[in-house]
Amino acid sequence: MDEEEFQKFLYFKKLKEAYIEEKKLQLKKLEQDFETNRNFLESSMRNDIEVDRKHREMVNVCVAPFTEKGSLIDVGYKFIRASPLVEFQSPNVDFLVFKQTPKAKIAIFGEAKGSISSPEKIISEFRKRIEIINQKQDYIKTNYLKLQKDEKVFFEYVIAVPSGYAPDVLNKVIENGGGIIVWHAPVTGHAEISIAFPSKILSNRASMMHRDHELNETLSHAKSNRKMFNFFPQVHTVSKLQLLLSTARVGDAGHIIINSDLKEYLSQDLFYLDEAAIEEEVKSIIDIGLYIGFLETTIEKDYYHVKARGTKRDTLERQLVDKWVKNQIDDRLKVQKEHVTQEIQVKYKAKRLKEYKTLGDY
Amino acid sequence: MKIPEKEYTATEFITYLMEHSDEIFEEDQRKNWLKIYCILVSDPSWKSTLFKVNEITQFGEIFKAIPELESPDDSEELYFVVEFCPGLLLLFTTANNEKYRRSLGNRIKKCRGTTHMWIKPDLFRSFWKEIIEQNNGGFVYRFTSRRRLLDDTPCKIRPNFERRFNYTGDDGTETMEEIEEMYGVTPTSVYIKVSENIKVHLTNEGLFSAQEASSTALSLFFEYLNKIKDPILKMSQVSKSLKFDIVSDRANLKLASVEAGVIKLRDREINSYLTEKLTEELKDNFSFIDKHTENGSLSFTATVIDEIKGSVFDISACESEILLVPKYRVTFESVLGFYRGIAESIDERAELSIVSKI
Repeated sequence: MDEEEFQKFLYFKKLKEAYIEEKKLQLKKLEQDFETNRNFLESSMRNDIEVDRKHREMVNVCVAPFTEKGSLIDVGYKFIRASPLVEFQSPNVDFLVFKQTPKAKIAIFGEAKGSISSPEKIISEFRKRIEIINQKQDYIKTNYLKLQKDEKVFFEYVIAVPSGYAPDVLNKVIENGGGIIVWHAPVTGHAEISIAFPSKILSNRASMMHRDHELNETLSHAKSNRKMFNFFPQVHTVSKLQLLLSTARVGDAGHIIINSDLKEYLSQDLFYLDEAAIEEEVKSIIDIGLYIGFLETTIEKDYYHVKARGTKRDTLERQLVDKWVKNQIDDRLKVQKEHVTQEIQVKYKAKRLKEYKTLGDY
Repeated sequence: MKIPEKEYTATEFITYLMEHSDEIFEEDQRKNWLKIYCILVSDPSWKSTLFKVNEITQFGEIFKAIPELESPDDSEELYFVVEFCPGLLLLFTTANNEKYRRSLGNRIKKCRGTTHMWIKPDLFRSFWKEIIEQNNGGFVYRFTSRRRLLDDTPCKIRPNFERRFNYTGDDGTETMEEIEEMYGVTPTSVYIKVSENIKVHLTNEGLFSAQEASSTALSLFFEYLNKIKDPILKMSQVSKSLKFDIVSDRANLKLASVEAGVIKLRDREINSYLTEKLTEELKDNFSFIDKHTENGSLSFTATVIDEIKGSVFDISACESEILLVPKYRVTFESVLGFYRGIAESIDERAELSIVSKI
């Protein structure tokens, strides 16, 4: 029931006035609370963007050595895709690398963590994701690895963490019965990736190392790169919107975004997705850009105008992030207002039915 | 410039210039200096990207170009363009600096795939020093030297200041060295009186000009160009080699193949202060977005956008090196421009190369 209908339903002047007054007070209080917490909300949202950046860096460090000119490519593993099983909308991991030789086929699924609050939690979450991967083995073989269902593939599971956390995470894996391999990378200095070796006295040590000895040997300070792919299927919305800045063309009337440019960029970063999925990503970026007021349509189809002051992309970036943050806060406030209004309506509906009856109610 | 309109090879044209310099310029009443602009290009498409069809006429291996006027008050200027070797053009003209800047100079700055040939400070130094050393009696009579904000050139007086010196005086050779020692400034433009009849002007942007277009002056230019061109072309080639390709392997799996570049620092380590200042220093041409700095043992990552040429590449730096990954529509001069920023601002001896393995 919309507002007008609801007030009509209340019928009695006194009741209507009481409802309007209470709603006004409650919404005002809500707005004041939001204002008081605005700085906190903003900084928490900006922090989420930073957390995503760290996560992207960690994923990059994990996969860069397995690209065609990567430092570990000679070991035979190749970066196949990021976010495998994302198409099922279920919890998934960050990357898949794969090696096939006449002797064996090995698929490594990895989860990268840019920062860690609880090793226990990330391990238990990862184990749930491993279960999903195991359920989808046939799909993975045929769709991602171009193999037959019945071909034997060894699946291995890696959790990659900043080097400082590696001992804690490895200990938790050991406590939890092994079965997960821990990689680690420093967050400063040279970008490199290493395996965290479990103690030699452990009976299940092998389950926390790769079956491929060559990979175990070479995964020690292997050279890598923190910034190679900027766009993964599950990065933060702001990270996705950054693409608008990279592909914007400078025209007489400011910056112009063209669908085909976004697609060109994404077909590189999302090389493992098909054209339809990439087009969907492009559409989603444009839609969000329009929704938060960073873009506006032009008379030409698939051309959009950037609504921002200044000509340089770093200036545009600040405005993009500001608009996104403001939009998020406004959206939250809107949802809360609707929620509060609904609660008050429930209260007054009950009052109206119980205390203010009309002939029609009998 | 008056050159008979017939077919030339590049060598024939240069030989003709050297042997007929008197005739070529005798009708030019303006007494403008002969200027040779060295331009790096990405590939042979420069003919169509830099010039309109009606502006350029081919004579064998050389081209005569008359750019359209930028304003009705301008007069037509003539250029002869020689592809001296693949990727390096020489533009011969007597147009004055201002006219050149307004027409071709601006085009080269904006046009993707073309750039003025920047000469690294150490190479530039050896260039003009050799001219003086090998020509007894030669001396610098005018120069411009500058110091950038982050410059690590040794400096005795107030090293934290940016500065520029414009100097005229026949003791220029000595003065240049003295102020370099005291004020830590590096020469960017040098006028040399080589002998009684020869005055030349060199800049670190690849301009060579001579007051009289004599065969001696031209030989001087070609002699030194031949000495410096190889390291410059090598650097240019490295910039052109950066690639981000998607390939398929034998099993028909799609894979990413990234040819990344690396700038290795020799004399200085980067820290978070320097990266912050560097982004400031390069802000006229480059924007840095998606920037992230971790202190301690440095990690600095960013997406760099060349605001003029539109190239987008990612950088990832630790204290001793900066990795470059080409991302979107990268043209070689954007990479060179970024490298120039590092070499001029942070470490003159920084080296650009291809990463063998990431």
